[in-house]
Amino acid sequence: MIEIHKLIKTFGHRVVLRGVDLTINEGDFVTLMGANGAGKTTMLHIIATLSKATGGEVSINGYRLAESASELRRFIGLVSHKTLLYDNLTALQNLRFYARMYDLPDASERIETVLRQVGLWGRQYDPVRTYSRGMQQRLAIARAILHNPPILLLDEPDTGLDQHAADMLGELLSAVDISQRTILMTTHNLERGLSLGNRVVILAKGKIVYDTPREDVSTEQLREQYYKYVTV
Amino acid sequence: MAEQVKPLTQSKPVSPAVSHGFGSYVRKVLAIVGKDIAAELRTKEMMSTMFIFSLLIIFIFNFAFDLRAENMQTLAPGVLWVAVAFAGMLGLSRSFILERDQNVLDGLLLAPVDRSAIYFGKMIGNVLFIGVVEVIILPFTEQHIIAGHAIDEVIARFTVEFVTGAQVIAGIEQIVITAARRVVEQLRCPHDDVCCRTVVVVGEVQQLVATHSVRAD
Repeated sequence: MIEIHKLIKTFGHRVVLRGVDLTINEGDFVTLMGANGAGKTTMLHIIATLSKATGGEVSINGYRLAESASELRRFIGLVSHKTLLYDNLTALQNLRFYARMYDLPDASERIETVLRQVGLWGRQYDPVRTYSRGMQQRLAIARAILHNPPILLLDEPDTGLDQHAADMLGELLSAVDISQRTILMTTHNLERGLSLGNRVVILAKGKIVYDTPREDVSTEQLREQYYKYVTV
Repeated sequence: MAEQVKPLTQSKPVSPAVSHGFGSYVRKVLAIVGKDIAAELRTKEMMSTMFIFSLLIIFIFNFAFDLRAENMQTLAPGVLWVAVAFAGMLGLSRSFILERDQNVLDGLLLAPVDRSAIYFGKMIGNVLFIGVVEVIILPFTEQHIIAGHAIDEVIARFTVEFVTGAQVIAGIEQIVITAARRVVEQLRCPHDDVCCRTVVVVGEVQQLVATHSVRAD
């Protein structure tokens, strides 16, 4: 469970988040939408402990991020625009390295499981730089779920993917044991966001302006709301 | 077809308690060192750049100074130090490019590992690379020692110079410390005060060592 209370983030004089309040329950798949520069990535980076909040509070499973950041990292997996992988190392070397960083007890078994899951077991000995963008993103997901985190943060995971690769990514995300994870995903693709998530949230001008369960909104209604808040 | 993900444990973790054993810390440091070595063995970019750069410095100094046998005793250590120091800086910058590419540094910082382990892992890797370059270029600046001397004398002299070179490395590490402090203090590690202090203290100690070694010479 992620609880965000009056979250504020400023960069110099520029205020990006102006008191965001959001609670994400265990097992929720929340799709966060908003214009470029709305603060989506900033919010994800704060939850992922990669950035410090200027004000407000974030807690995970009841533990305040400001006090237990180091320990809470074990519970968080992040898929970003970038792969967070070493291009010159193979998929296996990358995952072995991260497995050691997370102290995984049954690393080999777990690596095989996630590589098979993302369909890259046959390419495990190839350097990441030889992968297509779609394959790299699948490997990035394998890296993010390697330590089986209960919280998965996805920051526009479909960026730079062609339609086919993006569809594959969607299928993969649907298959990645969603019921056991709390997922927060940012995206600009309204259809994909609505189809994958069970709750849709729109962030505009540093605040949550729209928050509704998926079943209460159609694609057209969401589009209408999105342009209502996102356009100037 | 995607298969079901098996949880690592029977139930989801509900407490953030993690083991902080020294063995775990060392394993993570070694993992970073091993990763750097594996990446370098695959590309050989850093070592080749450092080696060619240091050779170039020796070559240029050879023209710039009158490196006759009687002058070598005085000039060779200086040439060696300059070559190692500049090649080291070059290697360090390449080492951090590796981490910045694809935002891998974020991946490292996301791991439940003390920030000082990342620092020491990178430091040990860089010291190893600089040490290898040092061993390779030593004969180019120390021919006058090799010629007409017993092998045990040559080894003893090289060992002393290798250790001296390591002190240079301590000075160079200040760059890494600066980068680490900037990363830790400004952006990445806002919550780990202990880690910040560790990095700062290590930096100060190494600065003292570097300064002392310069004065001693």
